[in-house]
Amino acid sequence: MNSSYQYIPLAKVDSLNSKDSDNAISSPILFELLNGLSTEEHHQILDVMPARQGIIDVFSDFACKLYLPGCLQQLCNITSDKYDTANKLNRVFTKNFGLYKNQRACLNIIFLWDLPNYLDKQVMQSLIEYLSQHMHENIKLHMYIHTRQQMPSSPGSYCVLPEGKVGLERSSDSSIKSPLYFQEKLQKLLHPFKVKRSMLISGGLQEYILEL
Amino acid sequence: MIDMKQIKENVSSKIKTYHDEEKTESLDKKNTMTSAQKNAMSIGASIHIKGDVTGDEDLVIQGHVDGTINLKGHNVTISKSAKVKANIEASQVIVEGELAGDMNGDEKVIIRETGNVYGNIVAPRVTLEDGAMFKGSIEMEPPQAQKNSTANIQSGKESIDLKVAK
Repeated sequence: MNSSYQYIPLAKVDSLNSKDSDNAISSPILFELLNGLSTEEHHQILDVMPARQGIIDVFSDFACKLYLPGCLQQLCNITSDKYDTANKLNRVFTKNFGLYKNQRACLNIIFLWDLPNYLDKQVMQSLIEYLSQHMHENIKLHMYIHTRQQMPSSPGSYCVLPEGKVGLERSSDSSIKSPLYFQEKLQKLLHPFKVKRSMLISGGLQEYILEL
Repeated sequence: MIDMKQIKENVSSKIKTYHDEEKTESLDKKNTMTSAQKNAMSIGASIHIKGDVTGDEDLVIQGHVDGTINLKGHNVTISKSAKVKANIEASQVIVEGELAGDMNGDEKVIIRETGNVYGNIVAPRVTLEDGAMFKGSIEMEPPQAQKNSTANIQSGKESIDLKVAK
């Protein structure tokens, strides 16, 4: 049995984030993913954003384990280092992820939001390599890629809203040059993931869902 | 292992003094406490406990606890001033202060806006107020899923019983 979006209790998210509704963007691929989740299976989800009620509400009708390491900024701050990137990632996740307590983690959804735009290429490859130790074979990787020449100087704060929308809050008005990852380049960086579906949405974002 | 009754005897005088001071200092704050919190056993702000806390009543922690807290079927409140390093088992856990440790809430876990939690949560319902800090994992099993699993177990049992009856 699949859960439809109508059954996801988002009333709290709606009231909490009503101020963000002006910055709401449609995210059809994300909601296709959520609507396709089975209520009879146990899900393990990693969200790199700081913990928020919205993501808890979305998954409150499912038997699930949510990993909320709140390590977005720490990941952005990791600089590439030929010999030490893996260790740095390991330190971030071991400290915040709790995997040292649960080596059986078997993630089937990872929300990266727009983090990949801000990661060093080496770090991104190391991140995928690190997470691959904790992935289910049916893993789904969700992300947004900036398609304009310039992008905000830091990752946005995203929250799931009703009616298939995602609230987007920018922490800064300044902008930086975008890495402009196109599909082929992205697949190369995120090997062994392959793009399952992609769609250009508002705000100059390209929404992606990737699978193994 | 430290028993709640023992704690009561040892620290009752300090707690009484604390409560007297608290009454005069912040009556308004007191009024905002729920009736459950008012009736609960309290570990005052000046109290440091190292060890295992067990008992059969609700508990409000305002001080420091380092160890484990096992109050199954009861509520645990970690107040703003509290610093707790412990794994907690209770019916409902409310965190307003600092907690480093895992929580197992039979009913729900609430992290208030002033709460700062580093650990893993297992509970059917979790509330994270705006401004609350949380790092860790949350394991939820909604009542419906629990029912399904129970029903599956029961139907399995029935079929076994029927086979036996045949």
